[in-house]
Amino acid sequence: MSMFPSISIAGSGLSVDQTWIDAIGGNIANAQDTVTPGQPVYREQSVVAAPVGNTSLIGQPQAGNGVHVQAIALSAGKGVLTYDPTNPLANKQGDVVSPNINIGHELTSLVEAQVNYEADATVLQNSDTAYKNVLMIKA
Amino acid sequence: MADAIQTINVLGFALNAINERNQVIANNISNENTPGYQANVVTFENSLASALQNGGTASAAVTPEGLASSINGNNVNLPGEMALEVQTNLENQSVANSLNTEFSVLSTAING
Repeated sequence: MSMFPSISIAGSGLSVDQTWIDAIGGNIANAQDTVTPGQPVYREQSVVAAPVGNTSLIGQPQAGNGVHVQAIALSAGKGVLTYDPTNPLANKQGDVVSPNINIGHELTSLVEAQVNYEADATVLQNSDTAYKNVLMIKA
Repeated sequence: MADAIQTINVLGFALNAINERNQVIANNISNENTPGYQANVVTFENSLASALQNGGTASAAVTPEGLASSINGNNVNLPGEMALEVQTNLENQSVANSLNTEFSVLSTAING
């Protein structure tokens, strides 16, 4: 446990939010990918967050130690078949496969991730001030 | 003299409890999107008041906040936590200021 836990807890939140934003960036950047049917296609990434250490999920609640990325889950990855005969990657039937990514969903998650990032950044700043107040105590 | 020491002890206890509260709030906010996470709160005011009135030891307790959970089992209320965070920081500042005042009074008494 760090000496100034609130700062490291807010920092852990920031890094989860950052990973989340990165995953969304990857999804949006690859939304227009095309591959020949039968080839592996880009799979949508989603970040799975979990509390660090002993958590309020089980047993007696404790102050807590922050959050971490437990896993980056990939979608089933079937992709969607589209008819695009001019695409050099199209098969004999003129079909290509694109990842099944919903841009609306991605952008909504991006806003959510940004709000969380902002909240964690504010907590970090405020905790810094709070600890400094305590450090200024002198006789 | 005994009074001054008791005041310092009480302020020290409050400062600790407020710091723990700050930590719990930071943890709630950082777990804002963790599936199944349940927000906690720190309570110590009643325990401290009763210890001051009736004697005994005060303690700070971490308990579940118990709000309704959303669809992913998470019950962190972000605006509420942010407001609580600001409030906790002000409490922290006022206790720290009081401690400073206490110490400077004692220092004046000792050193003139």
